[in-house]
Amino acid sequence: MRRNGMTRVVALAAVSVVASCLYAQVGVGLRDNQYVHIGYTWKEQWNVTLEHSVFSQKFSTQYVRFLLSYKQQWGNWNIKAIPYYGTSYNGDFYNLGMAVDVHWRLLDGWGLTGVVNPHYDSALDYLTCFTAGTDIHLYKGITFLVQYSTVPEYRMKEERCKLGLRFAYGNLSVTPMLSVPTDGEGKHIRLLCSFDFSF
Amino acid sequence: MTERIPESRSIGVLLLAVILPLAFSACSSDTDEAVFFTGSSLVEKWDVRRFFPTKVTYNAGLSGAGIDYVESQGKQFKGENVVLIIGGNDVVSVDDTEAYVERYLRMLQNMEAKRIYLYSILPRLAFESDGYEKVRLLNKKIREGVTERLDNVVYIDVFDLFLEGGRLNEQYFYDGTHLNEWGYALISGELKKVLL
Repeated sequence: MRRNGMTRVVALAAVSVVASCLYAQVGVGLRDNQYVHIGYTWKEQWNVTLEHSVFSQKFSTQYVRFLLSYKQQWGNWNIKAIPYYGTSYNGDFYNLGMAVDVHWRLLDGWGLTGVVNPHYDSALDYLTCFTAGTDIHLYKGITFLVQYSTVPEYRMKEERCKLGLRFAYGNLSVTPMLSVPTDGEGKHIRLLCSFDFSF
Repeated sequence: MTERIPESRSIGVLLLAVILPLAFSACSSDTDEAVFFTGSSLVEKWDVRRFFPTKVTYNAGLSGAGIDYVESQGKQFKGENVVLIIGGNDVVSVDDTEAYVERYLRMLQNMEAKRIYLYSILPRLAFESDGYEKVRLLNKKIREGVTERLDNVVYIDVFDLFLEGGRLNEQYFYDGTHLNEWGYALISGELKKVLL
C-alpha cells in the first residue's frame, strides 16, 4: 500500500517547529555533498535536526530525515544516541534507526570513535552498520580523520574507508573526506564534503 | 548561549520523535523495487549508488564485456528491473549484422527480466573511421527489433547526445571510450526520465 509521503513530511516539520520553540542554539550545514540540515540544540545535550537531500532529481523523490540526539560526557568519554526517521516525499521508501556514537579521548589531541547503527530500510530490512575511526589533532583547528564505515552514504550499505581533514574555525567546521570502497562491488572513490555552522 | 527548559517539554519532544516514525512505518511502497545494472565497463565504472541515491541498486558491470557476458548471466535477473549497456565491445568484430542483432534480441528475451532499460550502443573514437555507419546500423536494427518483438524493453537512445557535428563530443569522455563525470551525468539524467 502506498503511503502519502507529504503527510509524513508535514508531521516531521511539525515536530521540528515544536522543537524550535525550545531552541538555544541553531546549526546549519551540509553532509556528504547532498544533504543539507538545520538543527536546534538546547540544554547542551539535546538536539533536533531536519535533514533534506539536494539530489539532482525530481522534487517528489527527494529524501527528508528527522534526527533527535542526546549526548552525555563522562570524563574522557562522550556518548551520543541519535534516533532518526527518514522518508522520500513520494513515500516510495522510509528508513529508521539509531546511531550510538562513542568517542574516547585517549590523549590530548588523539581520540577514538566507534558508532553502532542498527538501521531498518523498508526494502532492505534490518541492517547493522558501524563506524570505527580515529582523529588526530594536527595544528590549531585542523584534525586528521580516518574511519572504516559501513553506514550508508546514500541508501545502500557499503564498506568504505574514509580519510580526511576537519578544519574548525570559530563556529564553522569544514570536513572534506576521501571515501574509498573496500567491498567487492565498490569501485568508486568519492570526495565528500561536509560543513557545520552554529550561531 | 543556552536557556533552561523544563524537563517535561524535553521528554515531550522525545516522545513525539519516537512515536511519529513508528506510526508512519507500517508499510512500504510497491514501486520501490531494486534495479540491477549490467553490461560493459561503462556500467562497471558508473557509480549508480551516487547517481540514484534513493534506489536500491546493484552493479554487475564488467570491463571488456560483450553480449556473451550478459548471456552467461543467464536468468540471474529474472523478474527484476535491469539497466543494460552492452554491445560497444562487439562492434568491431561483428561481420554479420543480421546475425548479431538476432543474437542480441535473443539475449534480451532470455533474460526474462521484468523490465529492461536498454541504452543504445554508445559512440567511441574507434568507431569514427566509417563515420559511425556500422554502429548506427546496429542501433537501428536493435531498436526496430525491440519495438516489434519485446514489450518489456524501454529503449534509451543516447547515441546522438554524445556527438557534436558528427564527431565524438569528447567533453563527455576521458579517453574516447569511457565516460567522465559529465558523461555519466548525461546518461543518468536520461535514465531518471523513465525510471523515477
